[in-house]
Amino acid sequence: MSLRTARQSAQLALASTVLLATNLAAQQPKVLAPHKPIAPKVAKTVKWLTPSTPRTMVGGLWKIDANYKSSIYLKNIVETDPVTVTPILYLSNGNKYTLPDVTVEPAGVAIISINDALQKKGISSWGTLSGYVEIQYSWPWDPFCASVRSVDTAHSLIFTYYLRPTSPLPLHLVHPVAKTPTHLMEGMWWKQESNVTGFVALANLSAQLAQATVQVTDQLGTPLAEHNVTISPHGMKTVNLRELAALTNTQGGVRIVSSETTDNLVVNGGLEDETVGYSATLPFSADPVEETNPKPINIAELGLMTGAADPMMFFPAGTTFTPYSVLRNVSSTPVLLTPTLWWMEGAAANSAQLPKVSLPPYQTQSLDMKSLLSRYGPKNFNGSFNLVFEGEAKPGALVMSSGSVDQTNNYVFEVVPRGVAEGGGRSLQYWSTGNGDDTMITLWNPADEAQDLVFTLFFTGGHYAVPLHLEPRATRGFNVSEIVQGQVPDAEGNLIPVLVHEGSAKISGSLGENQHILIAVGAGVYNVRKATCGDICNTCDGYTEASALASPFAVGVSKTYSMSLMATYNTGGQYNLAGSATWSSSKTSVATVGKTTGVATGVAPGAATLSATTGQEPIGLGYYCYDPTQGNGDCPEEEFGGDSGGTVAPTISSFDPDPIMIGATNTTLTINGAGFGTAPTVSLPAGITSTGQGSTNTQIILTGANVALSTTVGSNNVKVTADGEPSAPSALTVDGPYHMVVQSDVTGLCSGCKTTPMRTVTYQVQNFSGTPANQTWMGENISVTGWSCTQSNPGFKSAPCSNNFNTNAAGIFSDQWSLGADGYTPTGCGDNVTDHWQWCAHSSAQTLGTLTGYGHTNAVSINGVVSPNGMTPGTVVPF
Amino acid sequence: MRTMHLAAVALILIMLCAAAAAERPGSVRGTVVDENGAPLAAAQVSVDELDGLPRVSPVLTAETDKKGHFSIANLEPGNYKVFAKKESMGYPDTSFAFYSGQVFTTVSVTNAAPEADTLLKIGPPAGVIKGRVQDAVAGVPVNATFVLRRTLDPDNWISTSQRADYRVLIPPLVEVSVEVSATGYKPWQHGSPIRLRPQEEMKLDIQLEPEPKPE
Repeated sequence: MSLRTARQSAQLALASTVLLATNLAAQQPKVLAPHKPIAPKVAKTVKWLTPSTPRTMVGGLWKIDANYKSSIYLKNIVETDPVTVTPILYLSNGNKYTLPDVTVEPAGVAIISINDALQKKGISSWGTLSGYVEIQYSWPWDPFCASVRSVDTAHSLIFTYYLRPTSPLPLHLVHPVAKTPTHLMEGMWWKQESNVTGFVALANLSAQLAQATVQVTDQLGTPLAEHNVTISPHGMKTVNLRELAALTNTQGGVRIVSSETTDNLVVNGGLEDETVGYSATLPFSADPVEETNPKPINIAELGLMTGAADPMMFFPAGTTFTPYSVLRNVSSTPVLLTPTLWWMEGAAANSAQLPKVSLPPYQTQSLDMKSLLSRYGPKNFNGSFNLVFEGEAKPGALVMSSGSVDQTNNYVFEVVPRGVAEGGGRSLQYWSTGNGDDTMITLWNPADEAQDLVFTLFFTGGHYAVPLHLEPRATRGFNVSEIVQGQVPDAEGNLIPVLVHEGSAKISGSLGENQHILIAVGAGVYNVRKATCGDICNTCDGYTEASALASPFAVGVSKTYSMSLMATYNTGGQYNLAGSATWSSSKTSVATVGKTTGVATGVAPGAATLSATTGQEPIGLGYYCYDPTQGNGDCPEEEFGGDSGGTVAPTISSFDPDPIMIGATNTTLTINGAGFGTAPTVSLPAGITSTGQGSTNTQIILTGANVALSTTVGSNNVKVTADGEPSAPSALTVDGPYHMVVQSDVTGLCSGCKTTPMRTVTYQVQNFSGTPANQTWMGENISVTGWSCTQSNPGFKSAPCSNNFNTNAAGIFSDQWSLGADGYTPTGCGDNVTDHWQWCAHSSAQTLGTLTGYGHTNAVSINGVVSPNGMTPGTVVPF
Repeated sequence: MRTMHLAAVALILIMLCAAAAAERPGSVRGTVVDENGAPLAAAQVSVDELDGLPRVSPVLTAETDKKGHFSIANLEPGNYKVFAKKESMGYPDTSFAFYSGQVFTTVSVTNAAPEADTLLKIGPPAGVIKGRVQDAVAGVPVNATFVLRRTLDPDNWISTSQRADYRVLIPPLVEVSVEVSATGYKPWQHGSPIRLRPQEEMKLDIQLEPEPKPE
């Protein structure tokens, strides 16, 4: 079928389903904005829930020559941490050049000039070279939005291609979609004007030769031309579609059949006419068509321009734009779409439904937007509008392209069609206001409810947040330069310094980045002087890893434990989804878990697995701009979850007696708790023994219990093991002499002395429980050194354990430090003392207090307190 | 169960005390009477050997019974100073010269006469000063050290650490200077010597001025 015939057919189809332009909001089912609960952010992050692993992204098409300059754009989506990346350039011949590592700051952007990088490798940046890019990094997920931008400013040509991750996210998806390897890839071409030609670059990621056939078809899928290529390992072959220039058809398909699966291919294409400065991306489907039943789709092309250019964009006088929208059905099932125009008039959102678009299998259609606008759109309208397609199609069935072109075909504003669906926020890879650039942002609220959003601009050294309120169905378009030049402090008082001209950005709900929102976002960096406009990669912000904590969990019988389902956003923020997840237990006879609370309760000793599954939550993807028509539309939402294996152990709740006295013999020790079963074993601390045991599920009675004098006074751990599961250690207090507490501290001349001071400190020996240790056998382990008096050392008097000294009935004793007599010279002489007061009955003569100091002719020092000062009553003597 | 616990405690006390072995032969026993000659129960009696040796050792004590009787055993032969006190009733610790005025009892324990008998007459009871020490600015209680000095024998002094709510014994009918100090405060001194009659109580609240903080 000729182009004319095809177009006539399309027009007939349109004419047969004519609908009047009208505001349709009242006729459509109400579309609600999301109102899902927002998981709380956790203050303490775990870096990270899954280990960092070597990961890569691959793709892009770069080309350099005398005119083309190519750059790698890397946006670090992580807002909490810098990430270091190793860029690698592959040349078309398969040669590999590893570039120096680049560390990209949190939420930062790094731009790597491929021309400069090759020049540093000794390769002329003026030579005609092309290839693709790989980036390597070690991270739990893919933290980058990465693209390659090739610009020929001499001819006003610009091509942007994105990199894709090569590994799946570390998320346990409830319904993972297994991708079947395919050797087929479908694309689409169209001719904006008669001289447009195209190219397809095929990169072979494998280590073996790859064969590929590039077939050009007409709009009905009928083959027109075929190119066979062999691609060297890690090499790239560019196929020029020169035949397009000679074709009278204005749109059609491109089919690639390769010996390698598409996982091992990077395919990028372009349409261009350098004589007028026209360039556009030749789109391919990123994934094969899913052979499932058709699913609802909702795809928006935002910010299509028509009529006279916006004077605020500073285009040359007389510049007018015409929108285009091209679609290809690459599935074997017909697709029927309902397009609707949405535009703003003043503050009001208006819409007009267009005739349905029928796309038979493998057919391509270019909508006659000029005619459709004239017939159904607003009259005498100069500005931008959105074109929204609704219908049903198999995932991956549509390849689409849209945009606006001026009357000279020089200014091409490509608009990447994006699915419209509920999701998380979106990160924008890059914004620029430098060197004549500006960045145009278009936001559309597809809901019949207002939504509050935050648009955050990141730049080196800071960020700036702009609150946005979008009325139902409203579209908001603005340039970043307006915000920068405004110099109005945001809510936190931040400003964007006037010298800042680039950065990254994100759109999120006003209540948090993980708030579900229903929003469509379009963005592009344009430069009127260079006549270039490049789409900006949208990253779907969302969860990238999750884990049920604690893993393993441990809970006692009849005890509860609040589980967490921690999940990390691709921005680095961490959230606890426990309250919005659904919980279940693998063995409710061992442990139950609150279905909506995540509170685990131990039932009986044993092992169980507690599982949590979220509802539909946004998934973080860094490359979504690559494929707008997968799944349900825009950023995907999935159910994911985490498992936590763990054990339920018997629980010890109390002991009787507690404390138990050291030295007790033939007594009874009762252990109270739960989950003891029928034959528990008790692990007692060293020194405690028993001769008999009886038990119920909640009580163990140990008879003939002895607490040896070697037992440690204080806290001792007891464990009960039932059904193979040990309880958590539970503290049984063994009471006994523990420490010394000062009661009084008096210094004065001893009776019978005229000059020599005597210091008498009275202590109470207390048990661990604080009660007095009555009639306790005490002794000193003492060392006296440094005798410094002129007189010979007369020795000293002390009370070792062999003296059989006991505290009194109140646990009290007095300790006297003195030289004992007058006459020692010179004044100030004496000795140094270290005095360990010990409880002699304990098997290892336990020290209850250590005193260090000196006794001199004029002063006595104990533990740093020098007479006449004294230790305050109540002072606990250190061990 | 509680009965068993108490039984265990009693048992351990026996165990702890039963550890004594190789008793020394000497002892000092006697009776403590007050200034009127009446037996004094629950008084603390201590002995201190007149051996002239430096000491880092516990004070050997015993408590009088209802008849004022006491006995301190397990003593080596030697000469001993014997003191008695019952501070709760105002009888201070006379092992300190500040309270004894260098008047005290001595006894001898020998191998030939290992059991020494003595009558200890103590009293009259001391006067008492008591009150609260507090921060003059913040008004918070402050633990402090009291240094008491006999004004007619200034080398005879005593110091005692006290909680903020203090109680200090003053030898009866003796003129005493009182100085109070605490870390971080300027020393405080009572304006004039204090002289109290037996059992006389003097209420004395003390305000300590904080030391200026270093710049």
